[in-house]
Amino acid sequence: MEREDAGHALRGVYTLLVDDNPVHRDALRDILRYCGAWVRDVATGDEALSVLRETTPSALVVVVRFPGDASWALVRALRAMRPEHGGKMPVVGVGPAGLAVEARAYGMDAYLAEPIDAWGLCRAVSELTE
Amino acid sequence: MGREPTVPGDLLVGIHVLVVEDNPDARELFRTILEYAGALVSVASGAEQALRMCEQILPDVVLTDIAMPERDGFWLIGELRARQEAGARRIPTIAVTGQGMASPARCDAAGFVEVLRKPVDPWALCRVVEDHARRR
Repeated sequence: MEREDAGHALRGVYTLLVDDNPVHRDALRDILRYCGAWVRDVATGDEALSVLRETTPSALVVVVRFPGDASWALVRALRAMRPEHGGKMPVVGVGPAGLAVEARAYGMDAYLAEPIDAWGLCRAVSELTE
Repeated sequence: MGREPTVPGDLLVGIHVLVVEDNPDARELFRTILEYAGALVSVASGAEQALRMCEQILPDVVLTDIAMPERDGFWLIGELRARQEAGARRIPTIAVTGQGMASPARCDAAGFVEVLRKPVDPWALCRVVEDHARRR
């Protein structure tokens, strides 16, 4: 993503962000908003599922703390949904290094190892929602 | 005639700055200035929180106060340098300090790319951030 594209790369992209750490979540939300996304941010998988019952985001960004944590269960629950309910929604995982293969096996479309770069996150969401 | 040219509103577009400042008024002031020039700004209220953030999201530039309760700006840059020596990406780190608070020699030795003395000129601040973000 070029510098000048940063402000509108995600214009019109409704992104659901799930992260249980409020400071980290605010930072990720600010990044996605800066890139033009409309962001709904929640702390837990249950809250995310409740958002998914009401609306259909264009992408899910989910923070992974450790392998097999609640983010895994959320992605598995999402993938079990019908396509029209979001079952095929692009999912970007963000978390510790070394989990990319496992994350993809669980149904994430992209996995960014921390520390991430703000522009790399926007690029990943943008590429999956084009 | 009239004002000097200040900064274009897109000077810092596409640049991610982490502001580390314990004083909430100063923190919001720096955030507002940098956002006015187009930057993406994250904030931390202390050095330890800033370090945790940098372990998860690497900014393009860090702007940190020196004197803070508990861990100070020198501690933060020491930790960031230790991570860079272990292979992490280098993050240009700019210090902001009160008059007479930290000697220029100590700041240079610590690895700050620039030291700004308070009161800070907002446009000079934006130019310094832009300069170091581009050089990265």
